[in-house]
Amino acid sequence: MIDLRVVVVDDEPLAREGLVELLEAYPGVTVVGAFADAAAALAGLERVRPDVLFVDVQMPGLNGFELVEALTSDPLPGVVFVTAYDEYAIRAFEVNAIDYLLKPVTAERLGQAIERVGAHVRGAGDRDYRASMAALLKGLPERAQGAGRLIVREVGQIVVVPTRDVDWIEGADYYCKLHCGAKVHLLRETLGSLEQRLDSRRFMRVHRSAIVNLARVGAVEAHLRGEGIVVLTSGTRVKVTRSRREELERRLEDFHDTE
Amino acid sequence: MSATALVVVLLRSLQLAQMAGQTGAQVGWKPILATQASFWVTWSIWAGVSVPLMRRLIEHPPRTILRVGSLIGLALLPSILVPIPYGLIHWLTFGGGQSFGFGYIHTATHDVITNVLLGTAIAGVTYGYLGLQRARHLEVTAAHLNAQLSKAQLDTLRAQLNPHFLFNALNSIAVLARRGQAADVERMVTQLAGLLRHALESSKEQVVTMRVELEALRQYLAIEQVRYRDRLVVTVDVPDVLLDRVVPSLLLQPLVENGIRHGFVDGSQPLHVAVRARVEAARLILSVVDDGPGPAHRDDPPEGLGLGNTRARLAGLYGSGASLTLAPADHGHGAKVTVVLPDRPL
Repeated sequence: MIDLRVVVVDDEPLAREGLVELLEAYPGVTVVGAFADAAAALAGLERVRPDVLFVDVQMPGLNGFELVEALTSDPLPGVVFVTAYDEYAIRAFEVNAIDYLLKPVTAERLGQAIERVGAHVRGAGDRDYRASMAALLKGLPERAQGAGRLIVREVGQIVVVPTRDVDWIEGADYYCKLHCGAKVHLLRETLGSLEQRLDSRRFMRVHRSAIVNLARVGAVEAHLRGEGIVVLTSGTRVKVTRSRREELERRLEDFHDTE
Repeated sequence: MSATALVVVLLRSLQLAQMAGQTGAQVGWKPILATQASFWVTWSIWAGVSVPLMRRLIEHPPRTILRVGSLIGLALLPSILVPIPYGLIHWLTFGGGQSFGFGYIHTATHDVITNVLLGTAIAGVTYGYLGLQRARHLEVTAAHLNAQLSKAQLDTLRAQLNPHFLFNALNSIAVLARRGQAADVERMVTQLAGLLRHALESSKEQVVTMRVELEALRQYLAIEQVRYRDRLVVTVDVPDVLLDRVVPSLLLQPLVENGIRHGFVDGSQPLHVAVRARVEAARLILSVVDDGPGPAHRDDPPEGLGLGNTRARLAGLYGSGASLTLAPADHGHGAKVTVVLPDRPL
């Protein structure tokens, strides 16, 4: 028999209770937690360590996708998204073979999801699962234009950083520093991977280890051997590779702040 | 116009000089040219001046008697005006004993038939042409407005049947049914039916009484209350005297839904929403206030609906007589949507 520890995250009390009731009726499934939003879930997950997460997509604060994006546990728990209506997300789930349930949730359909995700949890293939989850999150239509906000896990809390608040991003080995005015947030992601997710009209990689927000560029100065220096409105100076200087100047000319 | 006038002037002068030559009268070509020029140039100037006057008459038509009077005036006025420069030039060029008055009376009476015919012809042609132009313009505008209205209707219908709301409501009903809460299921299904009926009818009826609108809002809120329980606190404060006022149908529900969608900050803090109505200076003022994060924190409008649709509908119904504004709520946090309508009792 299947033996799964599951967690439910949904902001609607009745929907949450309903899903818990359905899950508990399923043999071998134990509900180890039910949370009303992503922040509560992230705080609680450290403690309960479930095998599977049932996550509502539409939630206030961080939505279901952002919650999964902020998960750091290894291995990643199995994830089943729950949604009332979202045709684009559904296509993305299917393309990436990620489980999902539609509301109203039926016992029968829930049973199928449990069996499938149970097989994943028992089997190996975590690398594949992680990859398809990453592909799902990247391919979501609302992110095609670039992430509007970044989710940073800090001690004891989740910080949501709107990308328009970021002055520049400094890359280090396996993480990067988001410089937002006087604040600096550490993001566990490489600069190259982050660059892929950001809106390319607003952000530009000017150096192996730096991305700047074009809206915050105050001036571009000449430096040694054709290199340049970007002077941000905050006064910070960021080096520009010779090969990117021309592109930077061109993009600054074309850039219109739409915020 | 002036080129035609010039050709007419030259031809007519040539003809007159020839006629004068045949009768043996001694007339120089200069006076003939001058008087003829004054005659035809004055007419072409008149034709130019009468166009804007006529356009004004067509676009802002006065009462019938005045309109007919103005048309007759425009037809006859040149018969009095045209001889003035003619008489003046006649007097200046021929000189001698002929006074200005003589020249004026002479041309006014001598050319009266020509002048009346020309004046009437010009007035008639201008009136006909401009009238036709105006009618075409009105037709195009009406078609445009109609298209806008049907699009707004379609959008409203789509907004009213917000699939997200609908499926979440159905999910709640399924949960209640599984628990065997038959009475709750029945109530919720009835409320949903009432709301759907109101939505479908509102695509036909653009306006309803406040009473009907509030009933639909209550049905909507009852469903949301089942979904969110004590996390959602809504107060509706509309004085009884306003219940027979006319409002666009399904105006309030999307506004409240918008407030709920953007108002929650997380899964536990309660959200307060207040719906109010009052009359002030012949204006009906409706407001939906929430204590959520406020308009500055609203992300992109999800599902492309939101306030733009309502705003377009108001413009279609009232033109510039109605407005919708989104602002931070007075108490510092939260959003306030204010709709101002012309106050129309049933």
